[in-house]
Amino acid sequence: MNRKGKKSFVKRLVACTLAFSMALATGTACGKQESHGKISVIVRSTGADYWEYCKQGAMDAGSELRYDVTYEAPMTEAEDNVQVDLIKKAITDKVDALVISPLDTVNVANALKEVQQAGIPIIMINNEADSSFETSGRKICIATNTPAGGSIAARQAKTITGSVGGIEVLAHTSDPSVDNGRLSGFMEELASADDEDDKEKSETETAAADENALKIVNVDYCNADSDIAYQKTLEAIDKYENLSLIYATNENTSVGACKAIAEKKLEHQISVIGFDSSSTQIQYLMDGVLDGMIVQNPYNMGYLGVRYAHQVLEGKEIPDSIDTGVTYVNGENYSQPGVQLVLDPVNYIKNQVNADNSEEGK
Amino acid sequence: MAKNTVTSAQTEHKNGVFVFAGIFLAVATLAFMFVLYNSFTRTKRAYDETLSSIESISDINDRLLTINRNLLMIIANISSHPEDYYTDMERGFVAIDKDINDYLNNGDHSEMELARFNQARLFIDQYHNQITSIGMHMLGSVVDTGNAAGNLLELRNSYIQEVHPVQITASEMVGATIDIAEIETQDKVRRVEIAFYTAEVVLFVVAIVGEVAIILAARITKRNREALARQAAEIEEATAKFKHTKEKANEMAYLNILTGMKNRYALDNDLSGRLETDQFNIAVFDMDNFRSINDMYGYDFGDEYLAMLGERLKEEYGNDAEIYNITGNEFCFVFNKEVSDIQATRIAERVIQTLAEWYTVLNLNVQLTASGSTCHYLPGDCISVAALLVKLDNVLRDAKRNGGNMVLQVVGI
Repeated sequence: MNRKGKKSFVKRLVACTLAFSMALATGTACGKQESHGKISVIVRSTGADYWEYCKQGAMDAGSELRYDVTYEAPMTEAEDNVQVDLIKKAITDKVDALVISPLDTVNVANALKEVQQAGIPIIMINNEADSSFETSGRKICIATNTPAGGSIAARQAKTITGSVGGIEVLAHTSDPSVDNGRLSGFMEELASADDEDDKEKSETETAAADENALKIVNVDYCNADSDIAYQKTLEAIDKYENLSLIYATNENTSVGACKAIAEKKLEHQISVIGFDSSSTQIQYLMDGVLDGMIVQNPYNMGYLGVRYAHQVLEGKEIPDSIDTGVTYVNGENYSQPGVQLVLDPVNYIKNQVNADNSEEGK
Repeated sequence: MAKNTVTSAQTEHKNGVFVFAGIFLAVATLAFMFVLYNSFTRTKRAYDETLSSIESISDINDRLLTINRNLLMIIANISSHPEDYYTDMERGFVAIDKDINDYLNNGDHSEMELARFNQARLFIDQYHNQITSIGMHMLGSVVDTGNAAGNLLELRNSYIQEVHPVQITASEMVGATIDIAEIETQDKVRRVEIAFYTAEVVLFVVAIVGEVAIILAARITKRNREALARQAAEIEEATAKFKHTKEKANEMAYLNILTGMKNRYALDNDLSGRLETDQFNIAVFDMDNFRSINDMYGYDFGDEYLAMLGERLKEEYGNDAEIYNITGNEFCFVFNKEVSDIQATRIAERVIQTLAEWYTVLNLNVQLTASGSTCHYLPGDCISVAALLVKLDNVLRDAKRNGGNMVLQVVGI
């Protein structure tokens, strides 16, 4: 080996060493955050804000806890075969956990049995599966306690009307499994309130006062159609003189009721308590037509669904069921941050991040 | 000269390797120390920060549970002083505010963690509002009507349906904040781990490169040392050769080629130092008519004859005098100090006889007479050897002019 050759050998060696160290150092600096696994989130349908918020919650939890979260749903709640396909796809994709808001059909229940046989933990959100699905392990459900929603509506109704007048109920369905206790919860709470009133007033109050006490005068089933709700509201206004409040059990019926009240300019005489939220409802709330609405927390369902899936995978203790709670939103508390977070979590979080960034910018 | 240049170039190269290796090792070591130090501080900070922030957050959750317990106590209507529980709950919220500030002031939290924590705060606030309104409502009605039973039923429903879910959600969001903090700390720790391994690998590679460099440097040094030794040996050999040649040349300069006796330069060299100080006897001898031999038998023969004569003189008188063959057939005797003036004169006469004997040269018998001149030299007689020889030669010529075959004395220099 001549001298020149030796020199270049040393140079090459040094160059290799430096390159190697640099590569390692760069690799360290840019090290990608590893994923803890795959979680599939499947819900009942797409499109509604409700499910968008749920998706946002699931995605947020996924990025916080480092999971690859896939979010899928059939177009409408009628397509249970699509949901079954999505569930089967999750099995073949070998997801680590399934977070699902199942459609209440036997087909879906059967598909979920397969998931269970594959050893994939199931976390249910929003609602439980068809009763034919019997789990051998634990059943974990993260949902709104809907009868509680009804109850709260009833208590608010009492406050708003001063426990006086008739109530027209616009139920969006006559099927108790779909209604999920929005109506029964309302009725029970109202009945117990009546009992208390009876006890309190038993001997001192007059029969006339009793007659005027707050009670349900009529229940209409509107098939989740705002036009029907509108018609039924107009009819009720004409029919019941002492009508003081309308309780609508979902978004569409709330909108229909508000439309009728606004047209008749009866917002000062007749109060409306609705269920769920939409931009139309919020507008009616601002206009004073809608007195309040019972709002669920779909963001937290998605968020806690993925969070509990993570905890199940980690072998941590978790409760069997979680009530994500409902919030009664009215004109007073509408602008509170906590209420805004529940009403529109996507925009609220986005705005908050922007506000934080601009604060840092300053 | 050329060899020297090569050697210095090699030395320079060798030094370059060592300097380079030294700097490289120093830099690598410093870099390694820096990475290590950084890793340690980062780990420590990450742990400290997470620990303190998780502590504050965990406190929040504990306090929420305590508040919830107090609320349950009020609802259960166990105590006759529910306002005590209420005051306790308010204290809990004050403590939670302090925890929130502790958390926000401790360590740096990621955007994601803060967003989650802010949501937790919103739910805590909502919970606080609910409890405040329940507390006001309940305490108020207890005081006003003294009938708590109806209120308690409503309170129970309100607790289960409205308050408890908010508390659960608040706790979940607080827990989620802890989870995010933990996951991010795990990430930090993992990055530190990777940094550690990187540093170790780099150190390992540096060590290997260092070893290789040192081995190479050592080999280069060894080779250079060997080359130097070889050159030194060569130089020594060349010097010895040169010295020998020089000595030979010197010798040659002072010897007569034909007879192998010392020549006139040798005489000059030997005597010139003694002219001012010494007293000695000197004599020159020359064959009479030697030219006739050269003419008759040729120069080769003459040379052989002269060589034979020189050999004979050395044999016979080598102990008495130093003998020089100063020109072709002229011999000069510088007598030893032990030889007295008279002895010198006698020896001179015997030399004439020795030279005049018959000699057999190349199978021919030849005989020639010889003449000589002697001188008793005293210090300072002559300024040079040449001058002394001129005097001797003049006397010698006189002897030849007088028929030769005689020795004359130089008198009165």
